[in-house]
Amino acid sequence: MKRTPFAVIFSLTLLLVVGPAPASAASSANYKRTMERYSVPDVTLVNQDGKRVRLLDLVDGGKPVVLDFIYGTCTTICPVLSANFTNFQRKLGEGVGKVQLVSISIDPENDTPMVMKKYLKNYLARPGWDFLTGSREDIDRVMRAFSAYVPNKMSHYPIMFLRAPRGDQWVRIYGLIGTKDFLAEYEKVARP
Amino acid sequence: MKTNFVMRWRRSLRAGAAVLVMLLLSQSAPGASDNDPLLAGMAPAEIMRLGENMYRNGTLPSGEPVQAVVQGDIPVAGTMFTCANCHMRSGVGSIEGTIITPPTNGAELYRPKKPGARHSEAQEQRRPAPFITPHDRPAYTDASLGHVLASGIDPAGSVLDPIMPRYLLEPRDLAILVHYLKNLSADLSPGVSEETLDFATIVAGDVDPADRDAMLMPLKLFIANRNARVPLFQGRKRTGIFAEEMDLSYRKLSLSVWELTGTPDTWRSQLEAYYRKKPVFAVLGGIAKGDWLPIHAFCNQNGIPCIMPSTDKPVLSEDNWYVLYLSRGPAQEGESAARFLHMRKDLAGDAGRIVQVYRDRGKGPVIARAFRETLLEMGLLPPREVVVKAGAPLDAGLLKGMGPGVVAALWLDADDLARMRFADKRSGPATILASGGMLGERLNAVPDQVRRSTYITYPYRLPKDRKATHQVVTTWLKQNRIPASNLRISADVYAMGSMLTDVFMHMKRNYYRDHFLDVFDMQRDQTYTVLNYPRLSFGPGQRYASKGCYLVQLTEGPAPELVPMTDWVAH
Ligand code: HEC
Repeated sequence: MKRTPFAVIFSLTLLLVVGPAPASAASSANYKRTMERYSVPDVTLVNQDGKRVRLLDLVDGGKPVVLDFIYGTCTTICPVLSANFTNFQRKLGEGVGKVQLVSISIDPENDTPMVMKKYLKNYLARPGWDFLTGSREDIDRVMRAFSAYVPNKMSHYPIMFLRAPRGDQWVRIYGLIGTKDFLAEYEKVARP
Repeated sequence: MKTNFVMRWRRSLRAGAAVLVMLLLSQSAPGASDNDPLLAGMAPAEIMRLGENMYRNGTLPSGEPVQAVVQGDIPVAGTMFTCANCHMRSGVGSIEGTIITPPTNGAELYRPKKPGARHSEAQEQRRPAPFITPHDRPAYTDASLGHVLASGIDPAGSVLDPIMPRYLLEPRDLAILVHYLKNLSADLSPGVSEETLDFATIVAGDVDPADRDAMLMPLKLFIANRNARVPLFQGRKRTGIFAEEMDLSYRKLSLSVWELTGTPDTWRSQLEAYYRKKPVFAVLGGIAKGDWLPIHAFCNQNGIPCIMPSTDKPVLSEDNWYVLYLSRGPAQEGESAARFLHMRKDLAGDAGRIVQVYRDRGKGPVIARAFRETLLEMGLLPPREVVVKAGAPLDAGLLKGMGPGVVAALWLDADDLARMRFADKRSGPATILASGGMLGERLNAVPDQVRRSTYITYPYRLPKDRKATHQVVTTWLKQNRIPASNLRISADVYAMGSMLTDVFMHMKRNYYRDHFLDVFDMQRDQTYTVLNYPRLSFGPGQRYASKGCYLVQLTEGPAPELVPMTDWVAH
């Protein structure tokens, strides 16, 4: 008696993996996309290796940039944002070095280089994905510059930004998306 | 955020008492293996252990990571994140900004969910895109719970938002997880009764009576004040004014004082005896002469939260879940001093050597160890160590013997420092480091002639930023006739009290110990109510709330000003 539903479920899960995208797949209607102009402040932050990094150098390095705000112990929002980064890097395959991913901590007190390094390792991050921490003042300046300021990390919301190399417009994505939408948005930025 | 909280609770409250009774009647006793043939022959404790490992650590019984798909097309492994990252350790769920993650604990899953009042039109309009609309569903059964985890389709036929991953589990692993969820936060924790919530605080060893009062009196006052408001809350409950917000505050708090005597190695058995006599929900505050370790171990091994004890000797451990410390204690000073030297290579001096001096007891060895380890971590050379026996005379000419151009880290108290002979910068150390935690109120023990080359670790809020909070705390103490016998200790209790007020409100009826800590973890950063630190911050698993330490210099004179040379947190 009890075995049947589990057998059914198991084949359902198989269907999810190999079959066509089920009805539950993320639909584009789930996020809000706008074009924005931001001026990135000239701040020096610290990356997962404890190295000082000028944010402008990172975003103006001649590559398309994807940027988000996360922190190491965040619930629900960051896991999904970061899993998205992981899968995006995987889809890029050989071309992973052509895109710069930047995650900026909004919990700079707790996110030390060591915490950030471990976080990236858990998410199988490859080179080209940097996690930055810094002084609260500098982090606040960056959040403000991207119209993403939250006075407190618990009021965090899901948001992500894409920009073409040397472009002056950022695509602002509000909401949580899947890889299909991510790749489509990236294509628009990388090959306008 | 407030609306979100309220809505969720409104929903869960609608479930009503009748359902609760049904649930109690129908639910099998926690711990039973449910007669699921897939779990035949497995001990209930073993099923729980395996289920917990999936839920918290994302590890399957085989040792492999759990696999799932999130957002429709993103494969994820249990090494990235786990159920607990979203639903929290207690399973009571989380709220972050616009995202509500619903409960997934036994008590909530196995009863029907009614979202209750829909949002108003205006709320709908303002609703941000990723907001998840709550929907009705009947109570889960084992089968429908297994089904939703794999398919994302709940017993009402609704498809869950793709933020909730679809899990790829073998039938037996799925049965284990279902069993775990069914028993997760299913019964209220010990120390909770219909009328009261029982707490303890701890006074361990030969604590200075002034310090003991500084901890105990404000804590008792907080509890008395809160209990005095119980009739008011009950009244509101009857009249319906803020009924839901107030609904839970009606439980009285009780406080036992657990006095531990004798040497620290005997504390554990005394703690066990107190607990056997009257189990408590959690330990609040507390103070000890000596290490917090025996109490730390007792709390972690028995799963009893211990909130913000007053101790200079916190246990620094990655596995600590149950003790929420105010700070990392003296180690924070050593770590910050090392990072400061790494940042300010210009201070290293010609000799390129670092020497640290400390006595073999008290805070000195703790700071010294953290300093050494952090220097090594940053790729700097280890310091030379000069360790002086406690009680032995300190060689006043010590600094001369080091030669010129070194960095001298003097982890000493004010008496020792005042006894030292300091040469000027040409023949003495290039840079001196000292500990604000050890010098206490007597920072002026650093002689004028070396203040320009001396940097002091200062793990507290700066005096110039303390004024407003100082006023609030001292007034509160005075009004309640509590002597300010140790303001630092009393101020920490004051801060804890104001946090507890919030935490109780957000906990509502979910009196599970893990949820108590989960709610602490979801708190906003604390600044205004905190006298001793510029900021206390929290997060799941973050167990040391104050995370910074300034390096300051002193101006000249007997009452020097503190000039910060770093941010509160500097990486
Ligand atoms: C990335 C965050 C995330 C993770 C990881 C996650 N969940 Fe969820 N879960 C959610 C969200 C969000 C919902 C609400 C979805 C909705 O209402 O449409 C949910 C819904 C559920 C539900 C349905 C609750 C109900 O009342 O119908 C259950 C059961 C559940 N999760 C269990 C689990 C278990 C067990 C795990 C781990 C194996 C897990 N979840 C992992 C975010 C998460």
